[in-house]
Amino acid sequence: MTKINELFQEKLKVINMGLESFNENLKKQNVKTVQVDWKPPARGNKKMLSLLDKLK
Amino acid sequence: MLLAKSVASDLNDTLTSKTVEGIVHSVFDHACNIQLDRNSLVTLISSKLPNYPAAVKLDIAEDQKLCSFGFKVGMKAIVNKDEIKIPEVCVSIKLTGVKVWDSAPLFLKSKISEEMLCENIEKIRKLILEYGKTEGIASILDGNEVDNNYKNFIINSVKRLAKGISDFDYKEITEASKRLIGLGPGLTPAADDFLLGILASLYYIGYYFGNHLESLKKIASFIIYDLPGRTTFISEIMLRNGMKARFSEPIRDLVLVVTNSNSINDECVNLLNIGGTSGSDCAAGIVFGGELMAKVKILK
Amino acid sequence: MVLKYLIRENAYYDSVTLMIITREVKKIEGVKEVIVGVGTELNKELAGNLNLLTPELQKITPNDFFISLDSVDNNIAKKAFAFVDELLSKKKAESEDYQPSTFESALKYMPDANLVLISLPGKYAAREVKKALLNDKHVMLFSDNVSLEEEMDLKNLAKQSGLLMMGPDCGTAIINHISLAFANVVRKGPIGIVGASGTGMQEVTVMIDKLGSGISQAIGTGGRDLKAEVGGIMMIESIKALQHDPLTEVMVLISKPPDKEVAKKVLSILKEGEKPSVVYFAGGDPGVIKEYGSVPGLSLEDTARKAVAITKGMPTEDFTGFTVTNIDKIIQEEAKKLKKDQRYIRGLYTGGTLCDEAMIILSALIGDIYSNVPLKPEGKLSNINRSYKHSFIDLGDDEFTRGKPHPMIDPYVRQERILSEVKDREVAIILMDFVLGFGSNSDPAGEMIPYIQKARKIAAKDGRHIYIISSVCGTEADPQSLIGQEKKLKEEGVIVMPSNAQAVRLAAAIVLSRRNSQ
Repeated sequence: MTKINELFQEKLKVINMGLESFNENLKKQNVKTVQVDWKPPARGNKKMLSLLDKLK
Repeated sequence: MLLAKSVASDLNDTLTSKTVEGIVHSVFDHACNIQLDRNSLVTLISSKLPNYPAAVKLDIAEDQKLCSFGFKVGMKAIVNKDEIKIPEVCVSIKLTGVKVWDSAPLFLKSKISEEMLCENIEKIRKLILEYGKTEGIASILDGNEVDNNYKNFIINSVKRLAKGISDFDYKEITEASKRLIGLGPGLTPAADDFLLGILASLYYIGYYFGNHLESLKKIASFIIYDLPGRTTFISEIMLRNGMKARFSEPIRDLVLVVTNSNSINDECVNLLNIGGTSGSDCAAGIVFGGELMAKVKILK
Repeated sequence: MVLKYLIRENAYYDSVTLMIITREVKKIEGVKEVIVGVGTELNKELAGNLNLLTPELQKITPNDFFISLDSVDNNIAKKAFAFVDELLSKKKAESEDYQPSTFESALKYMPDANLVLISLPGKYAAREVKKALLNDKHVMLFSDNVSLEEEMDLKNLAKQSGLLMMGPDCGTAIINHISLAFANVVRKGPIGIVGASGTGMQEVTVMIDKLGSGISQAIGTGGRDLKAEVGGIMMIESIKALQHDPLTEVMVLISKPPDKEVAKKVLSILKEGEKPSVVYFAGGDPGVIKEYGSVPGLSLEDTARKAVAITKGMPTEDFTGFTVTNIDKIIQEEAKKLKKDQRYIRGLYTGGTLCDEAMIILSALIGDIYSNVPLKPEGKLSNINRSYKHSFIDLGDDEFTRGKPHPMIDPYVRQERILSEVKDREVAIILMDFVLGFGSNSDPAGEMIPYIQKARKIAAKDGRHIYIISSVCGTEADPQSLIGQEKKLKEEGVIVMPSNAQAVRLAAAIVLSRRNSQ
């Protein structure tokens, strides 16, 4: 059986990345779901870096 | 069934094959404290936190919060050396065969100069003031005008404590500490974190200058002499561990590099990042205790 | 000088919370002094020194938490404590639902996840999709603004791994009877759908449900899947999967006209499977479809009707009429009410495929249609905010939704637009779609009604009558009740037709009837 056909036999378990309303709607349908609190990749703590540089 | 990533070695004393009942004392994002009796506790921590005495680190995602397991204050816990169970939320944590984190103190023969040691302490002071959180009592390091309620209250007691330690005056030490234990905001009141830092410097920097561990322990026990009822349960346990030279990983790492290395930045920043003001208050204690021991050197 | 305090027994707050509380409360104008902490002797002594100690506070233990504050009056104190309460309970609420901050930690929390639904900004979406696919998870990609190259890359990866990659720009899917993103609640049944258009799938699934049948799966492929560059990868893999799905007896494909070669590829795969199929390539050539042994659908409704007919073993007849009785009478009577100058139809649509379908049907019947998404380049409106002659506006198109929510969620843009349309004296009919289901506004009809009323008033001032014709794309099982929505509209004098195709044909019939009578 292909993976897609396997999916059709399973209970959906969803990782939701983005709009929270999609996650809420899945919950209303009793789907096991987890909402990712996604943020764009960080650029590092500039303040800390500059402090550490000063103290060298 | 949850897996533990590591277990603190001091739990070998606390947990035995006898099963005891405890209750959930407090729940935070990354820690859950289980009180076993008047004098002992086990803390469940997420993998986000560093290692602590009396802690069991859980093998869960770094940003998974412990409260998401449903732990609530007052829940029953069933504990022995093999397993920790919180039946109400169907959580069971296996402890057998789990890696052990050694919470015992680590005293090393140092190769750095006294000058380097003092430089290290000074670096910490600077980092606290620029990067740390000063709403607790860390701001007493800046020598400036008082700007919060606690600072005022503490400065005199801290001066007394310093005098007590340098004169090896037990009475003075206990009186001064009594004026500090339990003071300040937070689950571990700011002054307690500060005292913990002093204890860390007392042991590690005291050891650097050649003091016997027994004398250091004696002073430590007077600092923590009159403890019961003066502060929160959690803080009491923390200070008792400190009295036995048992510290959390970030504290131990920092005092180790202060006394053995020429670079302390990473370890200092790690400590400053702990808790809200706890890390900064503790680091302030390390600075204060460090400067004191550097002046006093050998205890009479 | 008002002293207020708050005690929480056996309560602990981490110091971050306490710091924030202290800082924020101190900022409140009128708060002179505040102390927060646990009830240790020293903290109480300190509170006493600051004149913030009360007899009650004196009694608390180190295991209790307190806040004591001094403010200029009672109101400020109330405000401060309300604020503290808010901060303390907010912290609690936030903590209870675990929200991992990365895909990796989500995976650790839910290792048996089988689908990742991504609606992140397009710039970042592809990266996350790749992670999901490499971790052997199926993906539904709602985000648009993902490049064609990224789409090809990801779909090839998905294909190699045997996974579904629905999207980009996939707004609708129903997998294992679960509605994903914008989708309706539809009965289970033997019809499997693969579609490159969101509202197209919504209309077909809803029609199938209205006809008493149901669907097994509705797989979205994203709007660009049938372009030459992508080559129909996902449509083909989905078709294959449905061909092997024991619960699917009839297949339906929905898309805009695909690239010719891609169409052939897709249709021949469909043929190999030997399950009967109905294909809607909006406005495309039915000949090619018949050549490959599939049944062409002439509208979304017709497609649904034919699919259901096949499940019942009945013949698949073309349907291009009405299911409403007395339709001729309605047409003639309504046509009389219009003034001489009124001759144009304005379609204000929230669903892109529904708008397309409307334009396809209409251009065959009444001629040129102008639009922001015209069928022919000549039909493009020079100003999308100003209709011209017969105009159909897809309010969900990018030009209208930059920085604004989609009209299926937020009716604002359509509310304003209906008022400006009605000021044009040559407007006779306004056509609107109302799309229900998960993801949509909780009361699409209710939101438009006050504006329909306003619009009528504006027209009435010149003695004009305005026709409002609509269809509601929904089922009774949807979160918004289908019957309730239709009722609201009917009570407001809106002509509610059973499908988009019929609504459009009615509008055309009224216009033609007037032309003939003039």
